[in-house]
Amino acid sequence: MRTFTTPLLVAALLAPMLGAQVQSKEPGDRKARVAAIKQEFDAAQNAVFERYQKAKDDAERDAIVKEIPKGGAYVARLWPIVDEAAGDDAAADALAWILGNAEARADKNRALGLLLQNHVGAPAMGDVCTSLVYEPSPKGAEFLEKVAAAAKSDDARGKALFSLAKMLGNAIESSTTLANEAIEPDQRKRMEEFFGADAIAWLRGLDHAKTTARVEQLYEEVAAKFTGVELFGTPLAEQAKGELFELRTLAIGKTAPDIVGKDADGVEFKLSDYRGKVVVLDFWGEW
Amino acid sequence: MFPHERSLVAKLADKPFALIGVNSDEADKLKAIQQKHQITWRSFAAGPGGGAIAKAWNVSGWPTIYVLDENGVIRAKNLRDAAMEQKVEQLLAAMAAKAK
Repeated sequence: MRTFTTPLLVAALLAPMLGAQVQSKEPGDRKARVAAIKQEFDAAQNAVFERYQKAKDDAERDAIVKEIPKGGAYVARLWPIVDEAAGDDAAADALAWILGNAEARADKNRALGLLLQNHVGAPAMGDVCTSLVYEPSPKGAEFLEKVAAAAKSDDARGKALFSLAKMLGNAIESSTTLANEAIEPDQRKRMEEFFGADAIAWLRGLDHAKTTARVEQLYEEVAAKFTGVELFGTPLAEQAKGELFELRTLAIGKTAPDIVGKDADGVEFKLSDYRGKVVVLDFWGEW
Repeated sequence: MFPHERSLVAKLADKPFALIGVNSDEADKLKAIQQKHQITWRSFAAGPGGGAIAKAWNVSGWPTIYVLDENGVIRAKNLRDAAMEQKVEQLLAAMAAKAK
C-alpha cells in the first residue's frame, strides 16, 4: 500500500512547489502565496470539522478525527517560499504558521531559529509568542526574551512577557514531572519525543526557585502594564493577576480555598466537608 | 481518564479518601453524564467552562487535578494516573502512621 501511495503523494506535493517556483517573486505576491496555502489548509480542516459535527455516532466521529489534515504537507509547500527570500513579511508569516502547525520537531526548530534570526521585531510576533507556551524549550524562552526586548508595540511586548511567564511555569511543571520516578515509562518516552533532547536537558537542569521568582516578577510586570492588550478576549493584566493568585494561594503547601456548590442531584455540599480525608480534586468535563 | 479513576475509587473504598469532581458540562446534563460513564464519585455541577469555581481556581486547562491532604492542604498538582495514585497512597500511609 505504502509503496504505491508514496510516489503519488510526493508528486502531489511537488506539483504546487514546482508551480510556485516559476512565479514572480514580488513581495506582495509572496504574501498572497503564503496566504493561499494557509487558506487551503483552513478549508480542508473546516470540511472535516463540518462532517464531524454531522456524524451520527462515536464510531463515525473516531473515523473522521483520523482525517483531520496534518500540517506537514502544507509545511513542505511553505519552506520553498521561505527559502527564496528570507527575512521579508511573507517569510515571517510562513514561519509563524510552520511553528504553529508542523508536526515534525525539525520543522519547528528550523522555523523558530529563522524567526529568532530575522523577525523578532515583526508586529505579528505577539501571536507567535502565545503559540509557544506549551512547548517549553531553551530556544523558545530565548525567542520570547528577544521579542519582548525588540517589540515596538504593547501587543507584541505584552504577549511576549506573558507567554514567557506561562512557558517558564509550564517548564517547572514538566521538569517536576520528569523528575518524578512514579511516571510511567511510556509517558516519559512520549514527553522525551514531544519536547526533543535539547529541551529535555534544559528541563532536567532547571533551577526551580530562581525560575519561580522570575515567573512571579514577569506576571507582576504584565499585571501592572498590560491592561489594554487582550488575549482570547481577556486583558493580559487580568490573566496575569489570576496566575499570580494561583502561584500564591493555590501553590503546594497552601490550604485549598473552600468550594461550595451543588452536586448532580442539586444537593449543596462543600469541599471542606471532606476534611479528614485525602482528596483528589479533579476539574473535568465530558466534552 | 475515567477507567483509572473508577479503579482508584474502588481500590480505596475503605480508606479515608475521596475523589471530588468539578464538572464543566451543562449542570442539568451532569446526572446523565455520570450514569453514562458509571461515575460514582461526587462532582460540583459548575456549569460550562467550570463557572465561578474554575475562575476562582484559575483553571484554564482540563483536566486540572489537585491532591489535598486530610487537612485540606494542597500537596500535588496535575499528577496523572500512576504518579497521582502514588501520591495519594503516600498521604494515606502518612495518615495511618500518625494515627498509630
